Amino acid sequence: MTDTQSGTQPSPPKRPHLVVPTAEQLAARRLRRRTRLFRPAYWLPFVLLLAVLALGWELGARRMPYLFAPLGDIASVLADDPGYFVTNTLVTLSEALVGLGIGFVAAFALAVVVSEVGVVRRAVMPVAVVLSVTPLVAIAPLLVVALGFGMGPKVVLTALVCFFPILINVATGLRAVPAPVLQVYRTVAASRLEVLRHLRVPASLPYVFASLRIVFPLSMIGAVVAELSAAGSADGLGSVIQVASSQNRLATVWAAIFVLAALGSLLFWVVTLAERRVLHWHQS
Amino acid sequence: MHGVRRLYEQADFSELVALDDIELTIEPGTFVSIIGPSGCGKSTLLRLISGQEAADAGKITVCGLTPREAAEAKAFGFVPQSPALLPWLSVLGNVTLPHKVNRRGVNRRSDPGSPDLEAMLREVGLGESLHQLPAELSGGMKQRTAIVRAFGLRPDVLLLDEPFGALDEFTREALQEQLLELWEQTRATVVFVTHSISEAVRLSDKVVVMAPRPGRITDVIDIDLSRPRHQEIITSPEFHAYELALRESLRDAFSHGEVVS
Repeated sequence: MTDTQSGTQPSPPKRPHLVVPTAEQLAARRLRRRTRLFRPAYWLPFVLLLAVLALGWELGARRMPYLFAPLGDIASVLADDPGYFVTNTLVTLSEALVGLGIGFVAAFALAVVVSEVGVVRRAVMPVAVVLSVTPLVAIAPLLVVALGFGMGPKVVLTALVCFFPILINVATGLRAVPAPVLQVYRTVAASRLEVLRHLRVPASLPYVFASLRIVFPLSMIGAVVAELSAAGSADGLGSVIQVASSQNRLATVWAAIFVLAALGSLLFWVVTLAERRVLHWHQS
Repeated sequence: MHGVRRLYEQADFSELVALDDIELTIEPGTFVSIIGPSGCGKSTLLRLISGQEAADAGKITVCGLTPREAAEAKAFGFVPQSPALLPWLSVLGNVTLPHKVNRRGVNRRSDPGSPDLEAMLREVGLGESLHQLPAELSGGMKQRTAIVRAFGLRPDVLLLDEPFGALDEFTREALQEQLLELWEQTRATVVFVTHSISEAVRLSDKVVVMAPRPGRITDVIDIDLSRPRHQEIITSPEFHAYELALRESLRDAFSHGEVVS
């Protein structure tokens, strides 16, 4: 809740303790909020750091031409054939999102079972904890051998990589309903399904978003690693990187990495935006 | 509607006798407080009455039903010590949700009339906060919401577990007043767990004194003060006499505990 909002309520009758701002003051305040982004104090530190990094990068490109490509070259690779990057980005993005979607649905379903059935919880959770700290991307080459060069191994790997963090977070979230709340609703004999729907699932939402923040970047890693392991056979930014680096086209490699970084930031931003929309009641 | 009657029970927690040989009849429509030192099984008693735990021995009857059946029929309203509101629902949403669950239970009740929850909230001074979230409310307002949530069910039996324990003195007194007003309207049976002697005298028809280890009833004191009881009653000599009697009885309960342990 923004405190500027409280003053705008229409004509509070007897409230000597409230200083109601005038329309001009409110307009000025709103203008200040809106123009915040244009003030140097806001963007200058970031831009300065960017400039320093770019300078360092150019120096690096001179000193170590086999590691860095000059920024100008990278930009021109992107500008020369933007369609190439767009196509490959869409491939990687769809692999990541489809895998994430499958992993999410499966993990959420299992989390519900785990939270409702004690036997399953005691069986599954220790395994889940171990697997969630295992770098599952390492099985990418095996998946390629087993499932071929198509979308299959990429989606499966992404789903696997996303599965366990979601499972652990959501299973914790579903059990995060405070005991007194449960007691209130048990005294009115709410069914397990009602408790799940009205209490457990909403209570788990902060945990769901926490897991999404972890898992969106992970899904990109899963998709790219799977592409790296099956390079040249299909599209995707991972293949682009693998093929270009084998041909020593450094500018293309870096261009693809920059696109991945931008894509990751975009996804993170989307999650944050959705979280703010859905979890307006949650202070975070 | 009959009283709550329970005989002899033990809720086992690694052989700890939480409640032993409890014999208690609560007349329908009366306000009964349960008071006693920590660990005397007050909360356990409430959980047994509302059917959330089963007695290891003995029998509890609520309005002629078992506690479980009474809960299924939505005979209970419960107010815990913390308000236990859902942070994602507005005040109105929090008060309405218990009506939405277990709809079969309402059909089994004799009077299906659904009370006007908004009016009840306005009555306790939450009219301007109907659509606010719990995070925007003060502690007293939250607890008021929790009380309306329980009363709004028009329960036969209202169970309150130290509902004002975490509030400051002023808020506590204001809420006691409102609780009594709501109760005068509904005349539900109230079982009120408290730590406060004056609160027990102020509110109740009957005060049950309990002692710990093992949890048991040591005394039952009838409070014969006329209703409605307003703020002024606290300073009356009768009120004082009851407070003293209760204090005496509690001292006994404490010393009993010491002897046993």
